[in-house]
Amino acid sequence: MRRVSGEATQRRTARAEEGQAAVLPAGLGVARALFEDAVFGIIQLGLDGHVLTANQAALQQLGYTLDELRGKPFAALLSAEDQPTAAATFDALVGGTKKASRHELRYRRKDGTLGWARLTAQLTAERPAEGASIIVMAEEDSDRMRREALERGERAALERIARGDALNGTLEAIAALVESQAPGMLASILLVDDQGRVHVGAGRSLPAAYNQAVEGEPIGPQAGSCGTAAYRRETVITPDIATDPLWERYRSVALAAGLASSWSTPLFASDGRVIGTLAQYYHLRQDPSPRDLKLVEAAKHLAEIAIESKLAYAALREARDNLEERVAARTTALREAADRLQASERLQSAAQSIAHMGSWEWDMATNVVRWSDELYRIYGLTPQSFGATFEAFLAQIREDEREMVRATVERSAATHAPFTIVQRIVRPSGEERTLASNGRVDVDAEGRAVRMWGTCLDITERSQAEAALKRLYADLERRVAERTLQLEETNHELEAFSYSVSHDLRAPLRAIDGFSKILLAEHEAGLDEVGKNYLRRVRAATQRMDQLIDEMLALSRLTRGELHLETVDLSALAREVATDLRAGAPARKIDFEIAEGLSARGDPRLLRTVLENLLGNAVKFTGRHPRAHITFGARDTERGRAFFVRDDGAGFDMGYVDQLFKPFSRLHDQDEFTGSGIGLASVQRIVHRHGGHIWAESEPERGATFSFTLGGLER
Amino acid sequence: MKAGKHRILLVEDNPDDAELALHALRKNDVVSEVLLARDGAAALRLLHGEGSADGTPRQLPDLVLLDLKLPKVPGIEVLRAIRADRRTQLLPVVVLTSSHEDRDLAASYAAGANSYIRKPVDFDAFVTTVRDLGLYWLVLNEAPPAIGGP
Repeated sequence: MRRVSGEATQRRTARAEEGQAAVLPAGLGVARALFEDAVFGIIQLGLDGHVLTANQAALQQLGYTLDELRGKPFAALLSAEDQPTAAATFDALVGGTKKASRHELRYRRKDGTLGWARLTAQLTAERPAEGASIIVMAEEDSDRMRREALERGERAALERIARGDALNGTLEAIAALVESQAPGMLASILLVDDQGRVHVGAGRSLPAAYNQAVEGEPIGPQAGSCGTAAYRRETVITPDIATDPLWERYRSVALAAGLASSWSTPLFASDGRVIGTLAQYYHLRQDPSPRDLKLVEAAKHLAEIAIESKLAYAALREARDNLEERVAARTTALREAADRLQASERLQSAAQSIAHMGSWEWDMATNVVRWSDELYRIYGLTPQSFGATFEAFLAQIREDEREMVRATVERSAATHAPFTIVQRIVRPSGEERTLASNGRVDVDAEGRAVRMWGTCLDITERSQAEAALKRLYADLERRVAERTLQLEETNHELEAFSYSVSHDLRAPLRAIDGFSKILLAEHEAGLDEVGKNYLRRVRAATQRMDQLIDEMLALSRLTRGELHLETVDLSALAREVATDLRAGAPARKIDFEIAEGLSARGDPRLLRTVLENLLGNAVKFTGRHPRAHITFGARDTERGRAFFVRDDGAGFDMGYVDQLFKPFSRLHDQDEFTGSGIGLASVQRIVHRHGGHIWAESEPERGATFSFTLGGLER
Repeated sequence: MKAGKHRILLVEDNPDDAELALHALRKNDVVSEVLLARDGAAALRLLHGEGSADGTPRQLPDLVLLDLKLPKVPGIEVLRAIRADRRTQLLPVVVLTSSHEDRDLAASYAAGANSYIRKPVDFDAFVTTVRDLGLYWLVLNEAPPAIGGP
């Protein structure tokens, strides 16, 4: 204000010299001085309402030069609202009805802005006459102006806040408001974030370089006026930036920006947090005036409201977003749960449907029966066609079982014991179904049965299936019995056959042999040598046939009778057989090599037959070699653990291996090696009866190897 | 006991076997008489006198050679009937058969056979067997004391 008043004084002096003398009569020195030096504006108007002259204070208030103002209608200097009042007053003065008037009016400056002034207007003469003029004295009502500007600014700022305008715009408006109250002052608002850093909220009047330097700086014990104020949580006043130690860090940039003094006050949120600072700067070194501080107090609240509302809004928005997010998550969770429930219900329904199982419950107090969907299907009913009472349920039961069901349910209701029954129901279509039901009783605190519930299984198909299965079993058993009978008969026939072979085939043989013998012995005279020879051959043939019959019977016996399984020491058995064989051929040179510790589970009698045949064959087929080497052992083969008998005898052609195990088939001439062709067939039959395999490998004159398994019974 | 005084009952349906047996027995000087029954029923008539003209029991043989496979009454039934009758229960009975079956052997001994001889196909062996049989049962073996009858 000093600066402005200083300039005004200078200008006033200059203007006074320029033009006042032309209007005011000369010699009126005191009046002139009064006119020129008046701290309030004085305008002299002609009776036509046009400006004749004005003093410096008036010119300054209005922002016009005297030249510009001179000749303007006075009404043009007033606000539109006040022009009628002014016109009426003017008319009254000119008309002589009033000598003077006082008004508070808004005047219009050259730049269009309005100001309040208390105007006093009066005629210079007793009456309006030629040469008379009107003197208007305007005392600027600056308090009211500032108050109004303040109110206006506050209202605008509050409107912005209420509208939720961008915070920076609102803060700039507040800063402008502060500045409007004190010409020459520069206002700045900084925001302080949670990390204790400042951000420019409003600082349009400050140089951009300064704002940039401040942006993002931390608050602290020596951080200029604002940073320190935020740090200390109290107002910090710096009358001289150039010397204040608080400004060390920002001194150069502040001085470069032309800032000389500064004071800053912290802005608090309602919870006590520092959310910003409000600062005033001047280009001159000075202390804050009481008015400055008062202004700061007023603006501070506005800024606090603006910032906090914005923070609250942000927090609210965040909360809302969070809430929305949580609502969305919860909704999703609920929807998923609902889906799962639905899926579970579908599954249960499907399971019940697949199982032909329904569930039910009977609220005994209200006599309401609830059925699952599947139970409705089982009964062939719909919720519309079913009465849903116990009586309606009973009505579905086959008449002759109704009482039984009622009695069962009533007993369960009385005893609270669970029940299981099988009852038959009749569908509306007349079809009968068989159901297996169970039920349980829920009891209230007083021990009364209040609810019965359970499941119901449609066992019609199962019953039918069970009946069919029973029939099938019976049929199977009958067929097994039949088959067994047939087998027994076949067995009997076979036995009868063997018996017959054993008994009846021998009789004719005996007759042939006997009579041949008698012929040879007692009727020799009637026979020549050829005849005798033939009779001898007849006898040899009968012997041979007798032997064949024996062997055939032996073979057939192998397939009959039970296996007497026990652990057989095959090594020992082979040694015994070898001993016998050696004894039967004392002239032969035979090396037996019998592995130790071989055993198997099997029928000892039959296994002896196996070894007798295989080792016997080995002895037989090495008969034409000077020395025989016969091995009995065990080895691992692709069929598993196998025993083997190996010789170095005549062997056989593998081309005929198929014939080897057929009964009565022989690979050698009778003249070469005697035999009936029954031995290997018997061996194979025994091995098969033990569940094993037998096979042979050989080359002519390279010996033969017979291997056999015993169906996993070998050791 | 002296040779030539023994009676044998041969129960045999096969005429060839009967002929050969008789032939063999003829060569055997311990046997004085061979009675031949061609079926089981005939054998039992001979032994127990059933169906005979006067109803009086015949003189019992000293040894019965019994085939198992017989018309009308099977050999094993004949044997049981012999053992069931007080008069013949101690009579030596040798089962002479072609059968080599275990069950026949077992059944025969169970029914009370004294011996079980398989008829060899070889006639020479057959002759030897029959001779040995006669020698054993009629000469070497002490017969049980006669029960009943004259």
